[in-house]
Amino acid sequence: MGIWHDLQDDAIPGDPSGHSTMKRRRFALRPRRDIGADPDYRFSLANERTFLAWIRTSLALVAGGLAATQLLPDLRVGFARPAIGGGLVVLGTVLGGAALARWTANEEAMRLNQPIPASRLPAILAIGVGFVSVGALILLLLGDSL
Amino acid sequence: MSASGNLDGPGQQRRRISDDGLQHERTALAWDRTALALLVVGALSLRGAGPPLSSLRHVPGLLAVVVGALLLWLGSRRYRQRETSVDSDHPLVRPGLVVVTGTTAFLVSLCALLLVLTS
Repeated sequence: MGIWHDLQDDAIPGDPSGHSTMKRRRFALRPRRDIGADPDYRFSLANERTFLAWIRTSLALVAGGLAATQLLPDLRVGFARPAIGGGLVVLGTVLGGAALARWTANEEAMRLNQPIPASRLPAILAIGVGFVSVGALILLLLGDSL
Repeated sequence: MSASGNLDGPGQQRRRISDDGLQHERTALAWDRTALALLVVGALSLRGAGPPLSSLRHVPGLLAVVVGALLLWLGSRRYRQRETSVDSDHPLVRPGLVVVTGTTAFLVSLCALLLVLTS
């Protein structure tokens, strides 16, 4: 997963030369329009809404992190607020960056009539939120016992 | 012509909806929700940066608020226009708007991280 990604139609398997690597790996913020064909507009809109849903998830995590830092009462453990807030904002930042890369990859896969590439984003989100939640719980209990 | 275009009776040609599965409406609403989320993050960033609205710390918050307001205006406009037009089979992909939204969200998140760690 990343903004750097392979384009399978250009890939030359086993070719170690740098030129072909430069050709098939590129920095892509927006999908190529010179490959494949325009997909059904409903699929493009669905991809766009999926991107927007991920961006909203990312923004909600960032908002939660900012709110935790600014609004939480003192938890007695000194680093509790920056730890909870920082964790949420880090998770939101990762998802926000990955959302754009995933939208581009999906759009290109649809143009080439290939299956949508598998994504680790749901797993990253679930594990990240679980990690921050358990961490917050531990900090709460730690604060009470001090 | 989509199936939903035939839902209106013969006497109601005034308002024709050619939007299979309400794609345009759902996408327009998704843009609106995203713009509102960006506004919330902008407001929280500005709040975290403190009262005198002049320093460099306020730049990410202002960026989020400005882009959020812009998206509220631009993000759904084309879909609302297309929704009432007869030919909805046009490519509606908006790579520019998607890239601007994604990049802004990512940059604002990075700055929010700095804000959280330095406060």
